[in-house]
Order: sequence, then structure tokens, then C-alpha cells
Amino acid sequence: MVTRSLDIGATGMLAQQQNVDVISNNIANMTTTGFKRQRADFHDLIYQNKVRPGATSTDSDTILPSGLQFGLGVSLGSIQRLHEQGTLQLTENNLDLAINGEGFFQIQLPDGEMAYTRQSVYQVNDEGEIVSPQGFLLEPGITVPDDTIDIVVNQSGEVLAQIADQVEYQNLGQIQLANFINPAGLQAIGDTMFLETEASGDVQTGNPGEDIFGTIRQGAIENSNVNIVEEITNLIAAQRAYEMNSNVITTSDEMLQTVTQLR
Amino acid sequence: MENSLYIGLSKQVVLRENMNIIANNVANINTPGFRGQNMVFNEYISDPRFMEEDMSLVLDYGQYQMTDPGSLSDTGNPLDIALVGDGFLGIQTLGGEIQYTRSGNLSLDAEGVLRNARGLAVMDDRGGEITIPNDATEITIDRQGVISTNQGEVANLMILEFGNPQELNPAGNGLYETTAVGVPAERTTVKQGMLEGSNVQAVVEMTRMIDVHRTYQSVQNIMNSEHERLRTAAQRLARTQA
Repeated sequence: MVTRSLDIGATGMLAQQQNVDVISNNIANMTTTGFKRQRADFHDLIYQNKVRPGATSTDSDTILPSGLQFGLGVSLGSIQRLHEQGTLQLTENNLDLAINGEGFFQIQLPDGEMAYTRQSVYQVNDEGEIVSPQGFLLEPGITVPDDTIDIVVNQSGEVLAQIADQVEYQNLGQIQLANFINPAGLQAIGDTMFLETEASGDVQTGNPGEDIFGTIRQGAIENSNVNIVEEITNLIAAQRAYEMNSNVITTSDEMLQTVTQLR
Repeated sequence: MENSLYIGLSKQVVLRENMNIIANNVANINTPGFRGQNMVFNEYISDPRFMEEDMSLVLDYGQYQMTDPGSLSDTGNPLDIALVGDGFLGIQTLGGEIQYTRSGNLSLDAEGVLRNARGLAVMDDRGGEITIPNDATEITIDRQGVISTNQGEVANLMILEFGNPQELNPAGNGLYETTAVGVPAERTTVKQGMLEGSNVQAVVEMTRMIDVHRTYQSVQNIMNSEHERLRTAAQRLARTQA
């Protein structure tokens, strides 16, 4: 039926609509600290066999070189998150902590669950604990004394504080990073935080700079890894593909109209 | 005899099928590794009795894949690979058989097993799964498909070439199935951090669609005028002199 091409055109339009949804979320977050871009991956749908490939064409076992298989359109296969490094931007704020390399900061959610994030902006709460902008505790917990003049976080994640009237820096604790074999499998919960899932693999923790973990850069933030030129190019491609699929629907419609004029 | 109507009908039936194929190509214009299809028409000679001349109908005979490479785009993702050349990647299906794909957007699962976008295992050249060690970083895939990490070589990707790529039949989800036996690739190279797009060309598909559309209409016109001719003939012949 000609209506099959109508349906196929509709799957194409739907897929491109979802593509634009993903692209627009990337563009909306192009300046979100620690944001990791996503990508929609499409694949072709099932095929309908009119003549199976390899069918015999005569009684002397000659085989058709190709069959007749009609594809039934396209669907969204996955929305993959790409955990590439974002660019680092210097801020000189001593609680802006960027990870240079692999790894995630560990954040304890109010319900006790652990979340993982690449966001770089931290603050001290009223009790002197280092918290995320949402006010959630950084794990392992580090408390800054009241009379601190300066905080230094070194590349390997040691937090050192200069206390008033003391010459030597005091070690307040060690920031540990988390990593996963498959970061793309983490579940996003918003606020650039992620949860561990079956797909991500078990969490591995360690000190910054050790084997698989990146180092910490104090006084810098990690920008979003959205590449705006790439997103705009993808947006143009998605829009054109959307238009072409709507052309397919229009043409199928006109073919149907031609049929209805037949008497 | 209304043969001209049937000839027109045979053309319209194949044009509809052709339209379905074009629609599928256009729907997959952004699908990584997708290869567009094209139809082959054939003349079917019918030999009606009591006719001096044979009647020539049109038949949809088969279809072929367009094998020209799709556009390459730089994604920067180390688990994206593009195949340059005619080779196909071996993928293990859930049923345990091997299917083939050109779509190189790969990922790891929780155990570090290399999988395609649908979660099926990517095979190594010996037919096994590829597992990246848990504590490895810096995955690199070289031109020959050798995967290595900072801890050394892990595996070779299964990349096969087929004498006749038309023997690969689309199975959906970017996979192809075949009974043909492929040989390890010699002329295919792997590019890491790139992704092969669909090889469907928008201009070509739009032109073919306009062609199908107009041909459909003109066949319809022929059928209309034939219908008209028959009706007029019936009316004139039935008219009796008063």
C-alpha cells in the first residue's frame, strides 16, 4: 500500500523531532558547568520480505540474486551521553575545583544515596562543610575551621588550610574521585549529577592523579563539552531531514489523491 | 481487451513499492552506517492468446544496496569508529549468530564488554567478545582495528570483506545478515573518533521521488483516457439508429 510510505515518512519526522529535542537540550546547556552533551543515535527498523533473498526463480534451482525487502522506517536507538573532557576556565576562586582527566566528584544526596558529578563550583555551608551549589555534602566530608584564611586544594586532592596565626598549612582531608567502566551508562538526575546504574558498572574510587583518575585543578571550572558549531550543524541537518520526510508524506498523499480520482 | 489498463496497473504497483523504498531511504538519512536501497525493474512478457503482439508488463524484480561510502563526521568520541573501505564489523546477535554492520557507534557495558548501540557484543577476529580491563584508560583503535589501552593490546576487531556486498541482506537495527563467508579485511581501514553517516543522498532521493510521483500521475492519465475511450466506444456502439 502507498500508506506504508506515509507511515515511513512519519517515523522519519518523529525521529528528527527527537533529534532536535536532544540538540536543543545541548544548546540550552552550552554554558552549564560540568554538563556533558548527548547524542541521538538512530537505526533502521525491521524489514518486510516480499521476496526472500535466495528464493529460487525457476525449477532448475536458479537463485534470485537479491530479494525484495522493504524497510519500514527509522527509530531512535539510544541517546548516548559523551563524557569527553570540557575546556577548563580559570576563575581563581579557591573552591572552584575542576577535574582534568577522568573521574567524578562524589556528592551525598539528602536521602543518603551517592550522586556523581563533574560540576566544579563548591561552597562552604554554615557549619564549615564543603557542599555543592545545591547544599549537598561533598564525600568524603571535609570541614573547614572557622578561622581559616586560605584553602589550597592540590592536584592529588589534598585539602590544606591556612589557619590564622599558624605558619604551616593544616591538612583537612582528602577529596576522592569516583569512576566507572562505562560512564555513558550513568543515569542523569539533573543538576549535572548522575546515579550509578546496572549499565555503568560498579563504582571505583581513588585519589586524584592515581592510575585511572584525573587530577584536580583548583581555581578553575570545567565548561560544558557542547561544541556549538557541531550542534548548529546537526540542527541544520535535522531540520532538512525533517523537511524531506514531510515531502515524502506530501508526495504519498498526492499519489493517494491521484488514486481517489480514478473511477 | 483492457490490456492497456493492466499494463498501467503493473506500472503503478511497482511505483508504489519504489515510493516505499525512497521513503525508507529518506527516513534513514541521519542513521549512522545506513546504506540506501534502489529498485530493479524488469520487463515481464505476457503472451495473451489471440493477440499478434506480446504484452509487456513491468515487474519489481529485486533491489540493491548503494555501496558508496557515507559521509564521515568527526565526533571526537574514542568509541566511535568509521570503516573506510568495503568491510563490515562482526556483531554477535542474541541467537549467537554473527551479523554485520557499518555503524560504528560503540560503547562499553558494566563489565567492560564492547557493544554496539543496541547492546550486542562486538566480536574480535577469533569470534569472541572484547573486554576492556576495568582499570584501563586511553582506549585507542588503530587503522587495522587493533584495540589497545594504556596496559597494552586487548583484541583485534572482526572486520570482514565480502566479494559481493549485495549478498548482505538488511536485518534492521543497522545489521546485515548473510550466508556468504567474508574474508578478513585487507583494504578496509578503521578511523577512530569518526562516524560514518548514512549514504543516502538527499538530492538523489528527492529527484527520484518527483520522478515516481509524476510517472504515477501520467500512468493515471493514460488509464483515465483509456477508461474514457472504452466508455465512449460502448456508448457509440450501443447507440441504435432511430
